Amino acid sequence: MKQFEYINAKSIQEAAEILSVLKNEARIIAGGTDLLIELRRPNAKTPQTVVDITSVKELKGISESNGSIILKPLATHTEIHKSDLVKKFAGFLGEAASVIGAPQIRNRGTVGGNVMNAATCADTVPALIALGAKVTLHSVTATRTMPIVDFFIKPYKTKANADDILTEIKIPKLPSGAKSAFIKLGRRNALSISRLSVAAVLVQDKSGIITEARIVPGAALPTWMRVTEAERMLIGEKPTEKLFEAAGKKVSEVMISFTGRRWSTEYKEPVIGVLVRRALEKCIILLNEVRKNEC
Amino acid sequence: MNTKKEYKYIGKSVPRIDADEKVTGQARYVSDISMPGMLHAKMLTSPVAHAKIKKIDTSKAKALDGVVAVLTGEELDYHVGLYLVDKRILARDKVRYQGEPVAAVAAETLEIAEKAIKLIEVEYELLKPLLDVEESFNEKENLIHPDLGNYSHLKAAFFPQPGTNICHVSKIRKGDIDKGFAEADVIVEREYNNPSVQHVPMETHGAIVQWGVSDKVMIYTSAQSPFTVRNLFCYTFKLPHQKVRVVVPYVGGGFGGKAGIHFEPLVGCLSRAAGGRPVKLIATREEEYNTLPCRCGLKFKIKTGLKKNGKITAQKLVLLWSAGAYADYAVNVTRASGYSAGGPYYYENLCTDSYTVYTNQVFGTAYRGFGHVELFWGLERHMDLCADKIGIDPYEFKKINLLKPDNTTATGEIVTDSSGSVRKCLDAVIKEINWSGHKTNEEKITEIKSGKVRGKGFAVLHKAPAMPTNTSSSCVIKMNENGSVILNVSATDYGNGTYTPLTQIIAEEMDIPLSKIHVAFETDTDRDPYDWQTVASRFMPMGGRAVINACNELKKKMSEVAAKVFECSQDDFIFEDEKIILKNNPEKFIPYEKLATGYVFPNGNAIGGPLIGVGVYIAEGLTNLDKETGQGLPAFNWTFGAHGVEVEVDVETGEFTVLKIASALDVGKVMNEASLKGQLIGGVVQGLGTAICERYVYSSDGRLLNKSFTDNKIPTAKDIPNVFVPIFIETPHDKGAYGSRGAAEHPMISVAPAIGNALKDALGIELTEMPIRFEDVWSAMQKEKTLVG
Repeated sequence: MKQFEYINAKSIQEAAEILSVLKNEARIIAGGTDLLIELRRPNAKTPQTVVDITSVKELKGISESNGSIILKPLATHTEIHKSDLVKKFAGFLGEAASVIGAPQIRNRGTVGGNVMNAATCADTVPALIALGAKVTLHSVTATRTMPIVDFFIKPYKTKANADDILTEIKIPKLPSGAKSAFIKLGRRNALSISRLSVAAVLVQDKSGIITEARIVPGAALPTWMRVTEAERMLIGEKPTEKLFEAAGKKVSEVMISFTGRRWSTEYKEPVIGVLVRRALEKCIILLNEVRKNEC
Repeated sequence: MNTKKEYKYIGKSVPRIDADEKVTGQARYVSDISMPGMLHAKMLTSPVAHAKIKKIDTSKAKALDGVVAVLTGEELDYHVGLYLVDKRILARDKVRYQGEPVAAVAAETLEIAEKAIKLIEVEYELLKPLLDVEESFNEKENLIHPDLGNYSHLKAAFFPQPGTNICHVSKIRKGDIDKGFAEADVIVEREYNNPSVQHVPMETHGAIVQWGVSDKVMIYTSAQSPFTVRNLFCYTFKLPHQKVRVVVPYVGGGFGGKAGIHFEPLVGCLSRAAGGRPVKLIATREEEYNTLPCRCGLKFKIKTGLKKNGKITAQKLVLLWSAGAYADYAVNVTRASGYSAGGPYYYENLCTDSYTVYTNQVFGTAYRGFGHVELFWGLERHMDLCADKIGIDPYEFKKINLLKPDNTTATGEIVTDSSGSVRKCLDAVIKEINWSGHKTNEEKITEIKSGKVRGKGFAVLHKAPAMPTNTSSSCVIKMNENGSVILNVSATDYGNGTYTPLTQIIAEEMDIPLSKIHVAFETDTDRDPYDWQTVASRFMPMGGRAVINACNELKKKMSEVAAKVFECSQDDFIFEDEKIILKNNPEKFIPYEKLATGYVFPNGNAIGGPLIGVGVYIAEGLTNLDKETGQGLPAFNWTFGAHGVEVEVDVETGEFTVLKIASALDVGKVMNEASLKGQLIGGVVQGLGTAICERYVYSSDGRLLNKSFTDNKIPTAKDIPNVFVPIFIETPHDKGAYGSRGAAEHPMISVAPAIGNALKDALGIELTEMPIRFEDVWSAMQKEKTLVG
């Protein structure tokens, strides 16, 4: 059993004040699906204080504002998965949230926790990167907003300071006509950590030519990014299996340029390409459905 | 024994008698129990795999407020063991695996105990850890147990090799192996591998012990076999049996992991050191993986001589069982898998060497299947390869070589009609999966282009209870005032479900409604009669016989009284509808309840007395095996079976799904259909887990790297096959209750090779190591050049 002080913060301000004094001696708890597991590790550093923010109303909810989705950090994976707003304007984020862990984990775990924990296998992050989300951090001294792609430094390391609280994730809606997909490969079909994943977005013009593409692999790179080299290959082209295969191959090359070759590369190198191709194909299937309905 | 064909209760899908308390959470487990003045224990475990203990300093821990007792191996000069007594209660002088308990604390609270553990300082002098079973097998200098020659052991069955790391060898010598190979047209040889895995019971190990005044010891423990715990506890501490009481409350699964003795001696010593206060120790999940025992690893070679017509002329097997740091059940796993190693096939010439080898890893114990899951992985993959090498369909190949009546087994036992039929099991699954031969290469290539490939595979199995020749069971049936009965047995129902069919036996034999039959849970060595152990899938056929015998005794006692009442012969009665009835005059009868505590005549005179029936059963005719040839009669019965599966593979990622699994077992007699189906499906899923994802992973210095559910995964509800088809063959067994055979372990055996064979059918890939992860399928496909365009 670990011993620590527990504070149930009632407002962002209260939580921020506690963090401003305790800094690294305090840890925020929301769903607890990462923190509690971490604390059970034999050599884990026990924080002096755990600050529970689940009573802070301002940190809850999913809403719409000026063409953006506002995800508050306490939104649970279940809430995101069930949100019509997410379904309509950021479909793959909902898909990603729906394959995290198991129902119990999804009911407790929050998107804020997923982002702040910054594990390479975090399932909501590839979609958030592809969406061009922005995160807002608040501390007693400053409030900062930055693109989420700039927020991550390396696995488990972000630009958040010890006294920062994540207060908002702002997501520009996908352009109308865009379709998105998320594919995850785990060791088993539930309660599984992603070994590889891919988030993808495609937009086609009326003639079927791809006008926009976004590809973000998960659990593949040291940090998340859109693979623009692969995206560029798709723009101005009509979708073909060959084209998507080539894009997949490009993602795999980029992955290896970052990670080098390790024991798992033999498998991951071709398979990330397959997942990219499949995610793009899934987008096309959805785009075709829309077109069929329009006709 | 009752042998009529139509039964009122036997075979019916009677609901589990323990269902209500289990689903409502009212069933009491060890962790639910609290005693006045109870202390909480925590262990300090070794961070290194192999080392001398130079120094342990417990002074800071002892000084901590709330700490009542601190123990190290230095204070505990006792040996614990099952067949080979090689273990200390806490490591003494040296540690032999990372995770081994080195010191323990009993304190007022668990928090204090945990704090105290961190204050204990241990100095180690590192020794080279032996992590590879083959390396350890050949090692003569670096000995994990330098005292192997001095350990006491069961000399009739186990043969340690002092001066080596080999703690047992079992041999089978049948026929003339050299002649057999000389006669062969083709010789097929291959190596197979299984890692260690965990039992993963829902309830981890736990014990509460109070070492009371006058050395009266009270033990509550999560164990499968209360009398074995008592016997081994008494052996270790040289205590007389009557002073030690073992109570086993409800148990949340064991799968063999709770078969022997584990925490009880340590917790007992802590209680004694704490002046007789009760002490509780419950394992964390990490300790369950890393400190408590696992399933042994197995590396083995099979060499088979074949005639072109498909007949096996000779087979040689060399099995290296990785026991880990202590012998525990590994030596008996070695022995049982040794005499089973040929599988349910007939061999004129067979040679098996089965070794137990110490390594510096978590020690192995019994695990559902008792070596046969591991053995059959290789054996049934190998038989598929043999068929391939001589160009015969694997089904045809099996039909040629499977055991038939009048054949002799590996140990010289003659197969009879009542032995059961592996052929019937195989035929049933073959039919269920519509096997019509392997796909051609062309068919495979066409299918691969579509992205999803299907394959079919099948594998046979057999297993006998691995038990001493004098294995016995007993029971007591007590009749209550209302004519209901309570059954006392000391084999436990730790999830296996055996108690429910026992009530069906009593209902059938006595014609008492099921609602009036109760089996006492919370098994207690002071209250309940002796049983050897609840292991080896033997309780239904053997314990069932004891229950039938107890019913017969009850009926005899009732007849004696009724004969006096009606002034007739004791043989004149039938037992129906809770009444003893005069055969020739059904108007004359006595309800059971009038006899329950003694019959009273109208004038007040009483005869008889409380009705108690005692039943015993002991295995008869079994013999020890010859040390050099392994010949003898080790098996109470063999249960045969087969699995047939259909898999679908994603050829781009290697992911595969078991679409359907058909499983046939020759159970002799279905005692409770619903319960048996549950047992079968549960076993298949457990087999599937070890087939597709479970394994222990060690660092190069011998630390277990994956001791949690995050890193050592078992299947979830979303990973199990879409379709299960349980098939029960009923070839009556001449000794088992109602003709029944054990079927608890068998569903788990041969699931993995059936999948391996199906993947071979789908893709032509040859897998020889368990588990089969999707990366392994993918890698194997890359090697199969004809398939990759």
